[in-house]
Amino acid sequence: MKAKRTPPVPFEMVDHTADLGVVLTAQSLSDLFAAAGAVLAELMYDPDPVEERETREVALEAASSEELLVRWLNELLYIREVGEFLWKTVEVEAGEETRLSATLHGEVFRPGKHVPRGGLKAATYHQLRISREGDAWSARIIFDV
Amino acid sequence: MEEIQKLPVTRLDECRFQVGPVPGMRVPGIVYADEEMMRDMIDSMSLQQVANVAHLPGIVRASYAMPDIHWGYGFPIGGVAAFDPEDGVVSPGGVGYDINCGVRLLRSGLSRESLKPRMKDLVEGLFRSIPSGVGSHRKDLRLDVRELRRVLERGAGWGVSRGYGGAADLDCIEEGGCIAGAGPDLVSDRALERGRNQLGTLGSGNHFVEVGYVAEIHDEAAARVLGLEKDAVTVIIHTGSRGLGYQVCDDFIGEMIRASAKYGIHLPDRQLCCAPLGSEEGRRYLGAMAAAANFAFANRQVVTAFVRQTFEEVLGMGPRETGLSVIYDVCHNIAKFEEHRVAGKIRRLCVHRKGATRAFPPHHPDTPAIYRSIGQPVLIPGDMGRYSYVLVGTEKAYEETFGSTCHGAGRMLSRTAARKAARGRPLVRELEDRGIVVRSEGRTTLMEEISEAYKDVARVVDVCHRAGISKKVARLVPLGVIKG
Repeated sequence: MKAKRTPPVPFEMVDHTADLGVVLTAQSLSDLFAAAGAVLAELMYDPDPVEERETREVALEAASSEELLVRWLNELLYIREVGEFLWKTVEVEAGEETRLSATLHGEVFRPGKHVPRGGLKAATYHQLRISREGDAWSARIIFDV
Repeated sequence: MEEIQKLPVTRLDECRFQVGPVPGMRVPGIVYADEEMMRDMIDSMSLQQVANVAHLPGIVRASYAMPDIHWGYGFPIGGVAAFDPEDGVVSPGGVGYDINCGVRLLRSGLSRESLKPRMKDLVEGLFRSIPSGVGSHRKDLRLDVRELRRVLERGAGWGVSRGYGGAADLDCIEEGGCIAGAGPDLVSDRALERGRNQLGTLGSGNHFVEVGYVAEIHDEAAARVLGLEKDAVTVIIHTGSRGLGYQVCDDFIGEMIRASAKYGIHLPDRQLCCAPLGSEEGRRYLGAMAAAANFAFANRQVVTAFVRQTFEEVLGMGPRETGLSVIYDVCHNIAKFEEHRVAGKIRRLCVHRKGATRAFPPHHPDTPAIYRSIGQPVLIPGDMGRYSYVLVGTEKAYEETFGSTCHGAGRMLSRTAARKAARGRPLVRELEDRGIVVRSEGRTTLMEEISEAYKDVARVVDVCHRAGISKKVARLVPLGVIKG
């Protein structure tokens, strides 16, 4: 089932000295990926002034849900960097645990209108975890800053 | 959360502690630290990571950590590990995402006093000419793929061939500014796309260009050889391989996770994923990593050209008057083959330095001829509000740490804690009151990079100096900084 998230999305910061970690919760795996995308937006720029004028499509596969999460976040970092695309709403459908398709709604970065926050180099596999208890999903991701 | 084991720690001497071994560790961990530093890191994730690295196959002698050690991902930051080419491994996590993140130091013919009235203009000029921040690029330097491949093959030499600096610059760069064996064909299209317009840019995080001056000289003779005089103006450039390097690392981590399973390598942390040095996967990573490292060398070469140009334009001087020349350029994140003496025998080993600096001794063939009497220059940036150090490599480093020493101050506060400590403070004015002009792309970076977020680099450098793995030459104090 499709999930849709727009910032603000609640998350906890992991107290990592050099880098940056987040823990987030969601109601399904699709929702977890959507929430992770929305949190990533908040970490990198102020999502408020971003208007939903264009879309970007993403389709990914991986060997496990955790690898899929890392690939998803690194795909988003690539889209931010190369196309200078900023998203606000993230729609995700994770059909199986190892496959997702997503649509990002946002616009291309414009200096003066958009406010960058910190830069992130990559989502890492270090202490990466996705867990599930009934319908409650959670993930911990550490980014290299 | 990963388990943090209770690890046995034994003091070896004034500046060295042994960690373990515990079951699974093939060699012990050796940490360079003073007593207080060790007290702070006992039961920490960083010490656990020193122990985790010691699990990897083919590791030689010990898993080392420098005094600026802190919690990384996979390998600790400040980690050094060497692997045997026959049964050892190469690990992208032992290099990091920012492949060949490094530091270059320039000297100048200018004095601190003469520059003071122009400092604001100079910082503004540098900020305009050297793009910083996430995805920063110069509109006038976008390479086509053919040209980018040449950059990956030739490193800093590509810059010189295109008019960014002179041939003399290349003599004063680790590996001459080009790591042999680069395989541009092993770099993904996606990595190439990220790198195409990022040459000559700083990026974000802790990267910077800093104009400073020589505040103190610890070793007159060595300082003379390096051309460092008291009060002379210097420039430090700290950046790496930008998005191209991050993408290479990310591409290969996926591949290495599969390779670790294929070769039956047990990993205490997935981010330590690796492949045998002799395997196809290992060779492919080394080729791609060398290409990304060469991109970083070229990046610092191009930034150097922009620095020179800005000095000339702002000060209305020619290159002879500004006299900006390269003292040295070191890698902080790299894996490469080097010859080392182990148990009396010279062996070719793959040395991983992740947040550590090569510190080769006097008379070593890889130490540039002009520095052969003093040892290879080692550049240790501190935080933006205090000071940085110039050191030289030693015979003891060559004997004990595969010719390695520290790389910086090491963070003390998390980014969240630093932002909290900086909230509401007039950071730019605080630095101005200390005689430092600062310009940054966003306030967030400035908040995360406040002085208090870092250990005092003087303490880190003192441990390396007392341990004999490098020797202090001079202390540099900032006058103007541009940050990502």
